[in-house]
Amino acid sequence: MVTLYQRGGPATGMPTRTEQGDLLFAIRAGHSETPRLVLASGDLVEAFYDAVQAFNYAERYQTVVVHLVDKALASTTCTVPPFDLEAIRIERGELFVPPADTDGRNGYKRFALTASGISPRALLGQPGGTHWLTGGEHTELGRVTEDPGVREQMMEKRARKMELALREIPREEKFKVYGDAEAPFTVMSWGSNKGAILEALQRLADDGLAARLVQVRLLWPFPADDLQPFLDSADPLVVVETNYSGQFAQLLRAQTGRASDYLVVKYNGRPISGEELYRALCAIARGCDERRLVLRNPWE
Amino acid sequence: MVTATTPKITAKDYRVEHANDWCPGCGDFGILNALQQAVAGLGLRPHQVAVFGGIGCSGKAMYYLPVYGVHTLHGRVLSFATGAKLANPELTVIAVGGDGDGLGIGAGHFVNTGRRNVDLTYILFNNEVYGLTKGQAAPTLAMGLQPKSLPEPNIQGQINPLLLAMAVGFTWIGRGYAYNVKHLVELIQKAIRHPGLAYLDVLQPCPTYNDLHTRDWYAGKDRGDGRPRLYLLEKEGYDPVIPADADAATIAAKTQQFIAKAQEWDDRIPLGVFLENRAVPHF
Repeated sequence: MVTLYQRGGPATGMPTRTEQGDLLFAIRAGHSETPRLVLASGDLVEAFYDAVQAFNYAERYQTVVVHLVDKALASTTCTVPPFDLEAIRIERGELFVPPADTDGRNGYKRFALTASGISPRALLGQPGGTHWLTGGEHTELGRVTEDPGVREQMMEKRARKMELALREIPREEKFKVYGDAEAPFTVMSWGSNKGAILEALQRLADDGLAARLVQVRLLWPFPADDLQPFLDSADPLVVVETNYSGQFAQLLRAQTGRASDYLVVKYNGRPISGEELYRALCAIARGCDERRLVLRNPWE
Repeated sequence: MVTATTPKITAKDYRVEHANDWCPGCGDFGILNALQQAVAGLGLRPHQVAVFGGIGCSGKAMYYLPVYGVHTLHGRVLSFATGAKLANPELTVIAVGGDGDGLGIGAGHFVNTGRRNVDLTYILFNNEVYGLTKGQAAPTLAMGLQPKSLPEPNIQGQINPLLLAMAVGFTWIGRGYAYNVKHLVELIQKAIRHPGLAYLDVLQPCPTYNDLHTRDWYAGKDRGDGRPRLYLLEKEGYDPVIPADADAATIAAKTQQFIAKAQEWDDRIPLGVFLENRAVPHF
């Protein structure tokens, strides 16, 4: 489980300033096609429960889970309801139950090829469960191999886990819809922009303009099918991000074929405010010519 | 923690039939053999032992043991081993790796593991070269030496791993020799029994790439009088123990003694337990 707290780059960059510049990095970092889950929280309450869930998913799917937060979120202080600790479940995933009275010589297959892709896991020190773990490609026993057939089987096994995650993870964990759920005016975003967007939507509603926010929380594997109805009905589709290049918009287009109609970005290290976003959305609602709107802080 | 559950376990129970790509005559075989005898001799069952390997020839040792064997990332073996020990304190945790892995890329982990006296044993296979990648100078190779892969003598200075281990807080420090398996078994067992962080340096001739410090060199065959270079500290009455209630003067004297022994090389090279510090609380 990796907590990735994003800030402005390059290298040391702006250590005390925010950015959502690591989305594509989180999804693609590392060589090869290593499966992982990427979750992004929109506020502090979400961040608390998502952190728990990230650990659970890491154990359930036996793979890396990246919990994406950013400087703005990490440095935010606010009053929240007490966390509901009773509601928290700690999952250990599928565990290996050894046959009785063995001494580790029972041929336990730590990486057994299963339909789900998940192999029951023995915990270090458990009688009957000794095995080898390696960063090298490996057989079901954990032996290093470069066998082409085994490689295919293991690649497919790991890919099956991602398909399983997409099937199992409930829709409300994949994304949340705020505002007028039926409104065509659709803001799509992720991470800590949530607060500013909700404020801007409220002001638009006060002006008589119905709009909705689709806050995507599971960024990888990408919930393309679940999002499709919202993409079909979006008019316009506005993507809001705290980065230069619109990484979420790129991801959305790559995974669904749907390009954003408007891209609102900010990349000066400062979080988006409800006020400036409200003004940008008003301009879009009026049908502005610009398709990419940059939010700035000229007074600073 | 070491708990003997059955007296029947033998080194044979720790053998694994698996293709091995170490070179013929490699010191790694001696260390693996000693490790198998050591854990069997302590009565440990395979599931009670976890061996973590670094990257390099040495790090593969875990593939030849029927224990929980984890092949980790280059230089990160101590981090994995520490995590496992904290998660399951009942496990006997052993980390194995080479000088390049542990003192090159892994130097930061070596230093910071020293600050936490976690009960685990780190066995460093010290052959002064990067054997897996064809014999480049490792951090333990002295300045001016030129093993056969180097185009010119080593231009960098060396790390003395024993001095470094003491400086950063390892509480048990020893040195063995890959071809003195009987002695090495005893050292590994002492290191495992030590209730804190143990560093065991093993001089491990690399027959393929280190043509300077060979088995014959350690045996002193290049010298006129044929006097072996290696000797055992315990045979000279060396006492490595810092007692739990040691006063500052005792600790200072033991430290001085350790530093003197850790610097002996070339003419006489000590093997044995250099330091057993009982005055530091352990995890």
